[in-house]
Amino acid sequence: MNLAVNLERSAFFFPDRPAISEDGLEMSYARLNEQANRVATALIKMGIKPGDHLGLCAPNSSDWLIFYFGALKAGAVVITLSSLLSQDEFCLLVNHAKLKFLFTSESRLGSLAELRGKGGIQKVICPKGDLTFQQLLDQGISSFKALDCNRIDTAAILYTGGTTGIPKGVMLTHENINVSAHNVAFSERSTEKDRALCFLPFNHVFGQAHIMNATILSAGCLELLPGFDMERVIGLIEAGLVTKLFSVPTVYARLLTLEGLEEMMHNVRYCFSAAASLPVEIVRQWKERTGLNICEGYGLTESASAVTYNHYYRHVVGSIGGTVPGVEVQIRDVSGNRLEQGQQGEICILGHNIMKGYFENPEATDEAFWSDGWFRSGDIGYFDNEDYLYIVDRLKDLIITGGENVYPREVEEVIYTRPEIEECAVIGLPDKEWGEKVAVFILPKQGQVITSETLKSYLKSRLSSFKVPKEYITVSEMPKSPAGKILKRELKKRFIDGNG
Amino acid sequence: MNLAVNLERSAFFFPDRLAIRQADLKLTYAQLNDQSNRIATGLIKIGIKPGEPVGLCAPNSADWVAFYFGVLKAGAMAVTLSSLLTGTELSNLVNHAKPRVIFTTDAKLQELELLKDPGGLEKLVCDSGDLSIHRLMEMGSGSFDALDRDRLDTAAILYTGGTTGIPKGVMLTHEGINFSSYSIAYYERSTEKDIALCFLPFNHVFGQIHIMNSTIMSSGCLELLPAFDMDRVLEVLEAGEITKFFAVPTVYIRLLGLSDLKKTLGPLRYCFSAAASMAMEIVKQWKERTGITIAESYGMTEAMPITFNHYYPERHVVGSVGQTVHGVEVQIRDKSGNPLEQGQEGEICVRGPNVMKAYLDNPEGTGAAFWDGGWVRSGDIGIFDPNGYLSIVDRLKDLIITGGENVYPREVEEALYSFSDVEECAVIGLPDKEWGERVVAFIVPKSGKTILNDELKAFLKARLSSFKVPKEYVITSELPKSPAGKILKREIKKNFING
Repeated sequence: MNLAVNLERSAFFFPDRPAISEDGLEMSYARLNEQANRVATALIKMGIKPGDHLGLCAPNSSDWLIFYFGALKAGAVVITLSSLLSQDEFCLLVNHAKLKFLFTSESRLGSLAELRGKGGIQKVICPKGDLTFQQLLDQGISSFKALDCNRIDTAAILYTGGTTGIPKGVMLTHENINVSAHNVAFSERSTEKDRALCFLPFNHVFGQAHIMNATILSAGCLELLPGFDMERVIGLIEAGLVTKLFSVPTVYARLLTLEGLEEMMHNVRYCFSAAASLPVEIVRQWKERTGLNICEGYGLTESASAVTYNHYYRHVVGSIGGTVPGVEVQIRDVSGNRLEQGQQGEICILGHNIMKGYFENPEATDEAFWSDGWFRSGDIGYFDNEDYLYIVDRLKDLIITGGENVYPREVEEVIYTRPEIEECAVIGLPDKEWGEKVAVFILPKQGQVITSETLKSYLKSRLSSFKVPKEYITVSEMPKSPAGKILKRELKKRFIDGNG
Repeated sequence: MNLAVNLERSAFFFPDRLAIRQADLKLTYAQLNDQSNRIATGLIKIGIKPGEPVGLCAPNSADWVAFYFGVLKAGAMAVTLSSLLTGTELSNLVNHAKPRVIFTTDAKLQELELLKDPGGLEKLVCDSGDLSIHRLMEMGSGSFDALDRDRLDTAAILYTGGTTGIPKGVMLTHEGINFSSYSIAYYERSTEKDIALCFLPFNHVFGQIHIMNSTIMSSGCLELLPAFDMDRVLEVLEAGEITKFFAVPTVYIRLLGLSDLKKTLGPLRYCFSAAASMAMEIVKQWKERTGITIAESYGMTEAMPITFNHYYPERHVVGSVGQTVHGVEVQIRDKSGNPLEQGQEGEICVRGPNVMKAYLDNPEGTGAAFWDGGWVRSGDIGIFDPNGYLSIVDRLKDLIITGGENVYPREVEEALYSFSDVEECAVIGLPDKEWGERVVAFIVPKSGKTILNDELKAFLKARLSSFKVPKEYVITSELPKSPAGKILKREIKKNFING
């Protein structure tokens, strides 16, 4: 089994249909497959062996996709890194991932110098790098078949979690991503006639498994943007180039302010929002104005996306839906005992979509699984009596803002590096635009003052921009448990109550 | 995971849509689910425990489906036996599976009564039996949720192979059947608006998984016929509602004889043929006359559908069985289990969630069926083309597929050998336009004896299910043999076809 066979099959069935549309240029499936073959054969020629780690750290582009499938075809493991990583984060992950080659952009060249050398990166592929992407393509040939891998061989590693401790590189197998891509294509009734808007980053499980791999599987066209750009999004939708709209709450909220939304959406048949916290009134207004539901799903990097789906047939606002075919969910207590329907507990998952483990992190892997193989999501939820799942809280305090994951501890550690800080707590506050926004509560040291401007610019130089808090609140004390732990839920409640 | 949750979900999403139609009977999803709940709770009340076998031995009916899901919901295993089984065929399987309860029809009652045994078969569910299905439903409650099972627990046992040796009861898991139903629903783009014609028996993997379970999963409607009947098929098609048609080559050929075929088919959008050996000209003619490609697949009881050929009509390769189903792996291996290169002939070996757990109480059979690492051996010889299309070259097991039913030559041969005038015999399948393959017997009579075909046929009819009885009898003075004395069936086939 090789995930890249999905591309080969689409190229076989629909050689002339567009696989990618970018800046008004379309690339056919035949061409995409040929280019991926060139990459695969070039990589093999340059000594890449099955199982070798190859990195991608660049915004969405057709080259990104060609490299991704080329690497998979060669039997290599793709390590997909966010192009927004700060320099420190980037170095940490590149070191951890044991990359042989890296596909990236020119701006990363500076930070790569120290990562070379023995056992380090051998080749960087970017303009002015060891070789350009075109030079790589030129070394290969267009005719090739994906090497067969075991279904439990790792296809991709996606990093999750912060920079503290050992990084968590989620090892997703060929089977994992395949199962999810198939589930998504089935749930969304995807066909070769679909055009899926994709401005969400391919390094993230949502962009990579849910949007990209499912579209390639169903032989549809990816309408690519390197990042979110409202005007371009509107332009593509208005031009009728999008049948499936994948977005985050903030974009739906903004689109709702447009007049003529109804006509604009004439070609869109399907809408999906990544974040679970889509406000009820947005879903209602959207349905009223466009006649379309905004479908939602629940998934984690570790589950290769799709765990639940809300829903092609019956959409329940506020829920994250029912389990997708072949995936099981149990609600368990802290000792791993299964709880009854209606009771709140940790969402645990079993299925062929669940990751193999965290790369070179056996401790975290052990903690992530119960002994009977069920994966612990770290999220608290419950089932209603119709088997629709609801999320109550995020056990790990994960903040999802604009579709990106922010781990509070990571932000807090950077804040704590300031001498003025006594205590701090980073939480996510509900936000109409972003789903959640990052907020920080600060207790300065006695006699010390730190302005939010100072702190913000300090953080900006150290963290990816989406991790930098939007809101800074100075407090005179932190609510704490008897054991001295800051009570984040309490903080959040006080703040929300106080601000009505 | 419980396979019956598919029924519950369809009943939840589409309570008022029809799940089953059979003549004047119409059953909505809410009703079917309610009946299954009653059967499940009724079975629990009469002492059925999770994990124990419960039998079904009856022709297709709405009650069959309700009972099947009732058994699953109670956490028990559905042992689905062909209602065409008779005599020792039936008693061997009942004694092997050891169900305490069997759902059947009055027609089978007398024969099954004889198999009752303290500690074994106790109760027969049919109108004149120990209790009717309606009585069982009355005992139960309409509100119930399927008991949760491990994904690797057995959901259904389907018997394959003949009466010789230990029977092979293929244990299919909740996960396996779920996976395959879902694969099919995806390939066929099935929705709640589909109406699937089903006259193929539910005891067989094709009727049970490919047609029935995948239709229930996608909330479509099953239009049931208890068995094939051309007049009824035409009647139902002419009523103009069938969207998915499942048949065997013979039926397609007969339909091609109709002058107003396109009109007869109405809104039909999808056609599928079970047998792999569909003649090329039939597929072509059908496509020309109706615009619809006849999709095919290759599968076996032990692994359900393995390949699919093909949803995208322009890539339907006639003569091939298609490409591997998504999530299923196929390797071509040599006799020692080493994978071969693309383009080489070897045994088709299969891995995936679709593969059976084991043969029931048959560790030797199970051991022989698998290579290490969960690869099940099909016993068929196949070859991949460069596009990943599989073709079947030969069947190792000599299995004959005639009109969608499996016939194991050895079983027929043993019956032939019990006829006193037979010296030697060989049963093979010969290509047949109507049936895919037809069962043919080659016979060497004992010296000085004459065998009358009619007499022999009547003898076999009394001993075998009708589809296993050879259609043709070739009397010969000798059979080709290997130096070791083994009858060379390939040689017989070749000589006969060339001759």
